Amino acid sequence: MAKFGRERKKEVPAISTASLPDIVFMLLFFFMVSTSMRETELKIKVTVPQATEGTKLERKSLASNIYVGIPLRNYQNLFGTEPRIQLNDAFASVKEIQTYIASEREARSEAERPFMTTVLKIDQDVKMGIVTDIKQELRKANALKISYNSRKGIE
Amino acid sequence: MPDPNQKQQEDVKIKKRNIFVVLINKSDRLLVNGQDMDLTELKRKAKEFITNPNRVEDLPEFENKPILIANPEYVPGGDAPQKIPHPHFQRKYPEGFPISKGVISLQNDRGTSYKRYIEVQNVLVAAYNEARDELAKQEFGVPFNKLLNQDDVDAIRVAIPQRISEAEPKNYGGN
Repeated sequence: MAKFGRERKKEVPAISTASLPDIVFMLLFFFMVSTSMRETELKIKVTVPQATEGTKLERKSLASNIYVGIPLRNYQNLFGTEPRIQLNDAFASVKEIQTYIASEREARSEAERPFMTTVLKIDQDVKMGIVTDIKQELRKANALKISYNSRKGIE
Repeated sequence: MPDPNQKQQEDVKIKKRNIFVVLINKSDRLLVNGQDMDLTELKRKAKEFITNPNRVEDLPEFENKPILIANPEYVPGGDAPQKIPHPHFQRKYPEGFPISKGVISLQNDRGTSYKRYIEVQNVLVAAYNEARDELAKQEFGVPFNKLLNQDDVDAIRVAIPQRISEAEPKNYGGN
């Protein structure tokens, strides 16, 4: 019979999986590079005031943040339109600042504690009343180094 | 900020000429030593207060003191003193460098806006920085923020101490 080679079925060759790890790693690296660590999600509007004499904070890991501002639109029916304090992810009252500072202090090593700074990120339209309350609370909590966050601005 | 947990310090008596009162009221108006003022004027006045170039009677007094900086050889419990005089200042001013006794007192109302407070704070710091810049140029030939030697930076900081005091909050009128 002259049908020798013709019997072979026309099979599709299996896809080579040799490059699969490459693809997986490429994806993995892509996501590793492109993700940033989630910072606290702000539930309030904070536009910090402009200032010219600012200095850069040297060690960000020693800073604990306190945010003050008017709640964003979608939180307004729950929290109103008066300026509120936000610590980490939640709204807080002035009274809770002391516990917050204590927990922040707990998270740092003994040697670092004296250099801890509280960074106040406060909206420019907020009145000083609430700011003063916070500062008094911080004094009670013995967090005496504070820094006001501001934008670099022109005179 | 002062520590409230520590025993109440005796109220330090400060002469009137050594104190520069800046008041911001609830409608963000500035009152400096009892006078209405805007920010540019405040900066000029504050600078004058800090440096007192002509040693005027009603601006702060100066006291000659050696400029002390941290001693690199100091170890806790050791014999070396914690602070040593800055060599340049000691050579140039053997009698001690005149350090101002002036204090700027910043008072604000609960109704003052945070923006205004930062503006004023900023202007006061700017005035100090300008004075430090001038001194740095005079002594070391470069502006303050261009100083390379940490000892020189410390010396200028000691020579022109930034003293802004915030009064205990008072409520002058509503929020």
